[in-house]
Amino acid sequence: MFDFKKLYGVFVDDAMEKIVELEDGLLQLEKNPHEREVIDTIFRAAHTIKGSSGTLGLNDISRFTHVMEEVLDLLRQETLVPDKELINVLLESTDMIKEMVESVASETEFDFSRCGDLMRRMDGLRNKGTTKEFKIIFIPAPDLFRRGIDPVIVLEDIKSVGEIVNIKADTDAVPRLSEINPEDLYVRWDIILRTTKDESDIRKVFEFVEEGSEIRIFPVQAAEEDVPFIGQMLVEEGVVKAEDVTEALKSQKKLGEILVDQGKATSGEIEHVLKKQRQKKLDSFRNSVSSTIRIDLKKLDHLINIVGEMVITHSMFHQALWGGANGNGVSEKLEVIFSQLQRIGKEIQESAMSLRMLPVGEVFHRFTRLVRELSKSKDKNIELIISGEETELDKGVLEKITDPLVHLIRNAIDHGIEPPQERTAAGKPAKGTIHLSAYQMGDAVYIDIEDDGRGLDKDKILRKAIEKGFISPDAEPSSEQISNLIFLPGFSTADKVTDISGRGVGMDVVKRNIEALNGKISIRSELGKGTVMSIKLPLTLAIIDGLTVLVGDEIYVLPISSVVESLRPERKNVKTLNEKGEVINVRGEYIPLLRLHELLDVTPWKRDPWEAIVVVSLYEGKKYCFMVDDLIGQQQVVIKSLGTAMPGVCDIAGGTILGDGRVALVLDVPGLIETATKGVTC
Amino acid sequence: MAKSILIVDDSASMRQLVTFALNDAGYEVISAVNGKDALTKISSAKIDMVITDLNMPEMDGIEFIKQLRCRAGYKFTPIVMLTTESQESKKQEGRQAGASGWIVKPFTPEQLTDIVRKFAR
Repeated sequence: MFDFKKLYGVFVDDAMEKIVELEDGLLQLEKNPHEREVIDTIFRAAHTIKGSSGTLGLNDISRFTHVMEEVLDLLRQETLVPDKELINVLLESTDMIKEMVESVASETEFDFSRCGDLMRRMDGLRNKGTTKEFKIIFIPAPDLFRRGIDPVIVLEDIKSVGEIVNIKADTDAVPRLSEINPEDLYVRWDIILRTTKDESDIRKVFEFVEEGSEIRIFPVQAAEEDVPFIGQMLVEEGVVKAEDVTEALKSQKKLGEILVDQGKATSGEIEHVLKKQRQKKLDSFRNSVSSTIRIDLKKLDHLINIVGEMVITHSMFHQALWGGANGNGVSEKLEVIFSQLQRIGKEIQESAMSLRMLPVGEVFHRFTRLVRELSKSKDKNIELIISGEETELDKGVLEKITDPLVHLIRNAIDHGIEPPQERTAAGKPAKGTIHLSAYQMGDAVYIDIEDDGRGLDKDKILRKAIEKGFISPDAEPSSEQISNLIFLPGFSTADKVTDISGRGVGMDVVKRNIEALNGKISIRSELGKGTVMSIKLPLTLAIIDGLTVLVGDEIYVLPISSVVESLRPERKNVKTLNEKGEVINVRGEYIPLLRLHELLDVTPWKRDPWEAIVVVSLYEGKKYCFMVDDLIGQQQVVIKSLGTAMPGVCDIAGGTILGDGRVALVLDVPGLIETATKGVTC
Repeated sequence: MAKSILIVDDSASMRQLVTFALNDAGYEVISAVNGKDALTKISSAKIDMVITDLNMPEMDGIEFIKQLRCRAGYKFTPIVMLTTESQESKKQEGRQAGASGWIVKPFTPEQLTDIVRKFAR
């Protein structure tokens, strides 16, 4: 007998090539779901693997790829759409094929039972493609009981046709108790049935009850139907046959091929540009948050509802003022109306703000590709687990958080997760995990990037920091302080610079970007176990909790998030140190004093700190005291951008309108401190 | 307790076929040769479901169904008629008399037990 094993080597090489095609294709498909060429490439790749493995008697691979091929075929026929779930299952299946091929290469046994779950999931996808939903309205004949038929029989029977998604008993036709004939049937049913069968099959269930009953069955339109392709529409309209379209599509040449044919470019040149294009596609998710916004209809309905309420309240107002002939009780009425208006106003505000909220999943899901691509290029096996994708974040915040997240995830892949050999040696699973999760707690949204990699080497960080002169050799920083050293500009512990990270720019920028969003980033890390980067973000950029302060005749707002405390220092605690300038001793800690009136160039009421108030702020781990004339209070303020008219301003975050109609400026604490300490104006 | 099914048919082979099939499926089967015979049988036993032919001597199926529906305790009992494709008008008549459903002859034992399972639950 011919020994197929001689051919295994060729098969493995060929299959690995196809697996790469599969993987690349699937990832591209995720981005551009309708790329016909991509779908065809994937299909051909799977088909080739199936064919060649079958010929060589590698039945496991052939059986498995056969199932995959069937799913891909449905994709080709556009019965299935390449949604997230489908892509995920197919990617996992690709991984599985890879493992099987690898086991052929290494001549080891592969446990085929491991494929069972994936094969079931693929079957599930296949069925999903062909199921339809029907709405069934079943109004049974009133005499059904007297004909010896229990309607439950019918309802039970429907289950044999498909899955009942929803069933509702309509009791509207049930008469009053005194008029009820207990032998008559008054209930009717509304059923939503998901099935692979068609209408006539459903109708068969009702065979015995049809007489005298009313049975309406109609297909339910899928909620979001994509606009069909021109080819599909031509077929549906009867202009051409399906085969003609397929034929025409086959003869359609790719642009590159045409150019090569015309001698305008060489295939090498085309390939080079194509490579660039793929890279661009990969990078494109950075700009993925568009300037338009898709809004859940429910949110809009809610808003319109409240606006409707407001209109009603307005007319109540009108009536209360001019409707009553005498003035009796007008003030009470006005009070009611006023509180109602207040409530409505608040709800409108909340509702309008919620329109700006987007689920973080929009951005998170692009990271699956990033992780896949990068871990491949690093020869690491990393899985990205995403949770909390439904958590909502202000669109503005979401846009600005994408870049820092990319950076942190790149870091986790590059520095955090170890190569498989190192992991196995450390007794960890070879496959690393990055867990990207989002959740809301109180007024803040938290995004955690957790990896199970090697963790931060605190000794190394400390050595580096001393070496670079960031801290003095005899300092004894806490573990947390050491971790935070990596946020210093110019700090990088990477021994060598890689293409992903380690250029020494990064963490400081990440931190600054997050702080610009009024957010915070913190690190928890355990050597050998992993690292958690936790980002805390305000729910929205536009509304902040502010501390209103008085400086001269002006009112300013300091974001509460950057305020530690406020106090009136005693005279003896205000000192001037040679190297630091004016400082205030707050419980033994010397904190530099910054006079806001000087920074903002206004004439203050009070010039001595012991008569004024100082507000202690924290910036980059250091405290600063801002001197103000007085505190007014704490309130939520809506920040309005200063616009593009004043591009050079960095110590003012924006303006806001106070309750009494006055305008106040919202101060940008990091900007203020930078200006004051470095004397730079940005 | 096993459900008891009454089969009413003048053909011995049909009665036997039904009895075998339903005994196999775990039902108790009582048989009667025509409507009149069936009416006497139901007085002595509690019947959960009736299967009846339509063309029978002495008392045919339609008349039997009509009378059975008037008997105390049989108002809501499922009654399945055995029909042939050509008996569309009979089927209509049977339904008006109070039949719950029908099986078209010839049928397989599986088809029979499916229907019995459906009605005699």
